[in-house]
Amino acid sequence: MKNHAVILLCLFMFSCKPADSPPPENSPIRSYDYAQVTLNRPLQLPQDHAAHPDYRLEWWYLTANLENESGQLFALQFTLFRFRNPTQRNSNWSDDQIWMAHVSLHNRDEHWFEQRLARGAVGNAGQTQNPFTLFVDDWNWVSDLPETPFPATLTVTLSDSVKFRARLITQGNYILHGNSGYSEKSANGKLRSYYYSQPFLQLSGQINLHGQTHQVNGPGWYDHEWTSHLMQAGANGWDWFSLHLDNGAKLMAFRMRMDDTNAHLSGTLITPDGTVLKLDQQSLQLTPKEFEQVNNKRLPTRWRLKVVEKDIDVELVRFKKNQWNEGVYPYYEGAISVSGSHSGQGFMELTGY
Amino acid sequence: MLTCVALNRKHPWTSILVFVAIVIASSGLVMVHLINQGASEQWPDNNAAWIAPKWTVESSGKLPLTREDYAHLRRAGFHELAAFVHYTGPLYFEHTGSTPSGLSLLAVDTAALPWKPASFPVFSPLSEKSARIWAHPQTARLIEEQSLLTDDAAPLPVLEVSAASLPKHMLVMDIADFFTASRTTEKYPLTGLAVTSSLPESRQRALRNLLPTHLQLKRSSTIESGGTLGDSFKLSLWALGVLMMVVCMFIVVNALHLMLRFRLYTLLKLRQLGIGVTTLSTSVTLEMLFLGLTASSVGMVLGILLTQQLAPGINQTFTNVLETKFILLPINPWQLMSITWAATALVITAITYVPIRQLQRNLTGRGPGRQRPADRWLKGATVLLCSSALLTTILAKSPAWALISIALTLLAGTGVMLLFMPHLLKLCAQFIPAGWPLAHWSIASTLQLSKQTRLAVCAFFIALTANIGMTVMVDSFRQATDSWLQARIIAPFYLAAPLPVTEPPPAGISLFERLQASAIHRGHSVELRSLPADSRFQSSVQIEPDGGVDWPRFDTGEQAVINQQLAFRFHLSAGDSLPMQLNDGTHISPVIGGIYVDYGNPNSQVLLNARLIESSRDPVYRYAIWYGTPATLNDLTEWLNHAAPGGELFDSEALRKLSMEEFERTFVVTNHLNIITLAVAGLSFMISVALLGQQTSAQLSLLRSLGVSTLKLRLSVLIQYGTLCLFAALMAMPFGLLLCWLLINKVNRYAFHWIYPVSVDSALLMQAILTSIGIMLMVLCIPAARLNGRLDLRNTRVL
Repeated sequence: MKNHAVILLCLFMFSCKPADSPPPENSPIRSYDYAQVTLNRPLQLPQDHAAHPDYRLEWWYLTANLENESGQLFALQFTLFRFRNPTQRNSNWSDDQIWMAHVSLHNRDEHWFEQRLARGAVGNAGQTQNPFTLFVDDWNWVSDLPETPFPATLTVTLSDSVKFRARLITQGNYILHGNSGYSEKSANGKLRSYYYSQPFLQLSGQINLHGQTHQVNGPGWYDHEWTSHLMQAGANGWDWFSLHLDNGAKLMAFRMRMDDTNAHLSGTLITPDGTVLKLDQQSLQLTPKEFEQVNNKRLPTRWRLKVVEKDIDVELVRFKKNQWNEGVYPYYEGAISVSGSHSGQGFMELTGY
Repeated sequence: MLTCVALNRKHPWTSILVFVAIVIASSGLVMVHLINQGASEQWPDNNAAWIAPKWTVESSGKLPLTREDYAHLRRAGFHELAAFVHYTGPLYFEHTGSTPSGLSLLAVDTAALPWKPASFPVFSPLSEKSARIWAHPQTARLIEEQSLLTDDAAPLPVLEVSAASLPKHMLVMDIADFFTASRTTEKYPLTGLAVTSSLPESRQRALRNLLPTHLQLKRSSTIESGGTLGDSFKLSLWALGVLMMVVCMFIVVNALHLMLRFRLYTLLKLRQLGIGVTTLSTSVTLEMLFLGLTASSVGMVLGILLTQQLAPGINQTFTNVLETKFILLPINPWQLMSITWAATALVITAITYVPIRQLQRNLTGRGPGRQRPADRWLKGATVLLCSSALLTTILAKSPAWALISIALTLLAGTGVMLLFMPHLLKLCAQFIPAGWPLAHWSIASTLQLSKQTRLAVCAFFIALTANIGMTVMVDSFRQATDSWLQARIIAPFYLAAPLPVTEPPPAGISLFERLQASAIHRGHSVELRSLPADSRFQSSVQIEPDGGVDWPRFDTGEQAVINQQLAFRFHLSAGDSLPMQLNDGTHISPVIGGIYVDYGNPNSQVLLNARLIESSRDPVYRYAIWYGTPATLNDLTEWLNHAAPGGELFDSEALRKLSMEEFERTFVVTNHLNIITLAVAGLSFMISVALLGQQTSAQLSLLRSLGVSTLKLRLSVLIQYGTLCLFAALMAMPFGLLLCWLLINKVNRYAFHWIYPVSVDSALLMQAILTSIGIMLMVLCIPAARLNGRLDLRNTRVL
């Protein structure tokens, strides 16, 4: 479950009603049918690595905890979002797809963030299958193979002074969240998406900062998710975590905050051998411990996470202050460290605050 | 250092003066910054980048620029490029078939525009209502909710958004919404790729190397800047902000001089005790820096708080005057503080140099004889400043250089004033009869005071010069606009009809049609207006120089007259030919017969004979109407009811009044800031003379012992202050007029492409000067009233 701020805001932007309600009579999106997330249409790989333009929203999401030769830490995020804009389906200039890419790079002292927007069919943004690519302008994810995202090379230039190039290699299988990739986001199941991850990802490459090149490597986490219904009235936002534990296990946890009910919790624990354990309201505990003032918002940046049946009781602490992405849809996205019963590192996303 | 700090207890006013001046300067600058930032963000000010880009990639003529070219360049890393189509063909109202005249349409790839927090969602492809058009509020009123069609009868989205910074003749929309229905890239090729941010030399080279042969990178001329009221507002706001800072800078220098004067005795003692000159001067500098950084922090907070408090009022002004809104953006206090601290530290380090050097000379016993080198330094600096001001004035060809020439002129004026003031006072003293000892003492004391309050007088001089310059400029603009309106709006009534008036008017009513069209001259959109072959209309056009137009040739279509805006943009003059392409594709090339003034119009315009534009005229029907015996106003309205149903009749007087009211509202904000600057200068002067007044207490005691009453003494002291102000005002007058000339002929010329004559209304000038002196004297009454005759030996030292 990635970048819920974007989902929240763009669904608001498209004036959407609860996912299963028909649009109102005067809506500009009347008679515009989005494809539905259903159990009848199971997630299938490698076909579903591709874009799903009939769905309202989609994103390919990479986060990585990198380290250079001298132990300096870097936190990298590359995301390509796709939106279907129902008001622009008859243009001779572009199709009804909007592409938005975010790149964020942190070291201890600095943060670089940039956003690119582009329309579909113009030729400067999109996704291709042969080879598999994701691109916006000169930001390129190019796979060595057709139809599959890995192994690949990612190249990003943020400005003349910040460049990043890395090889992305997998070391395990893809993980389908929820019910074989059918991922429910609310207790009543109205909010749902197709969602899978590649948590066994290793990055190695170079970051060039102000003319100085850093050889970096570290674990990454790749998500691909698409949906047409992820929002309903009363949902306030989400807290999302991806963890690389030092024992080789991986863990994804998210909490959707609602107006009138308890937060909805869900997650996936993946053992080093790839065995998947689905986590739910009973098995997963996620508690904010400390808050930080970021961009005039009070955000929980220190958490306690417990998976009782697996003896996991860890503290999740932000890598640095103010890991805020100020884009069209602002949100918190940053690296975290894991300590307690297990140690490790990962990423945290906070939205809707 | 601690000793320096402790000395503040003895003369706290000097430190307080420095503190207050820096607080005012920094809060003023923070306010100007925040107001302009809020205004810039609300007006989609990335205009500067994409409505009027400095660079565009365009076809070199062989092959069209394509969407594939665009994608190729973006994928190569030139993400600052945004594709656009500038449609200059006719636009029609869907229901009536009539044409809003002179409008062009800019369709831009909004996805490629630089994103700013406040600009979203207005300029975003992610916006729910993406199919919409933006326009200037006046244009929006013209179009209202009518659907427009392009020349292929394909409809455009309904206009929904107005933005005051847009040019009045331009509609803006998203490129994806433009290319709908039958509008394709084949039919309407891309006009260019706008460079939406700065393009350094290295990027220019890289882009040129990458461009295929059919494309070229060029300085843009296709889309143009509106030269809007908003730009004018921001420019004047910044100018006043800088002015306030300069005034405060003088206050700080003045206060520093005073501070050192009062401390010299103690510092000499410390020097005699063996403390080094460097240590002492470093301590003073560090103290000033500490004081400056503390005061600038307070000023920053004050500036933020004041802006927050004033935000509703500013918004009200923006709504009333600029027809837009002001939004106070989220403030980053750390960023503001670092900027304020850096500016304060830089300015204080720079301005403390001279007083500290003077202090060092005093402490090393080189005090006597210092006056002559200081005068020489002043003369040298004044000559240098005068030469620089003259040179930059002659060479200024851009708004930035025009502003630099203004700054240099103000500083040069200050130098001249400082040099001449003592001589003028001495001259004045010669005319005072010997039998007036008190007057003699007053003038001698004024001379002494003028030497000791030089910098405070400088602050007053600059504020007054700026006040005179701005007042005369605004008044000149007002007079020019009024006379232009009087001359141009000559008919008693004007009619805007939805259809042509074909029915002949009854006896006593004469009707003159004014045709409108648009054309392209060297890639630039030009408004065309017909001028009837009637002496009343021809004499209404204020041609400069007068008498240059051969009206018979004008009536045959051989000649045309152009406005200043067009002449200045393309360096055209009478006798040049003016090739233009009309909307219907025909080319005309009349000879320029003269250049006319056209105040307030940001667009280029040509007046020509109707026959030249008949074939490509816009379906807009405007008429000038006269009526007289035997027709009455009732006859006119009755006839119009059936001859031009649905038309609007405008009363000339009401039009003129409305125009002048809008004019007055525009300058409300700058007028108030002008007064604030003057008040700040007055405050500085007051504190200076209050401190220096202590030095004359011995003389006052003597005069009182001679039988001069306290009231007379107070009046005498007030006269001294008044004399100083008067002389400063007399010297500010020519420099104020020079400043006004620079504002009109340099700043306005290069920023907005029109000028107007400087009109000096002596009554208004005197009013401005007397008001300024009056404000100063009112403020100075306070130190004058506090005078007493007690002798205080501690204050008799003279630096």
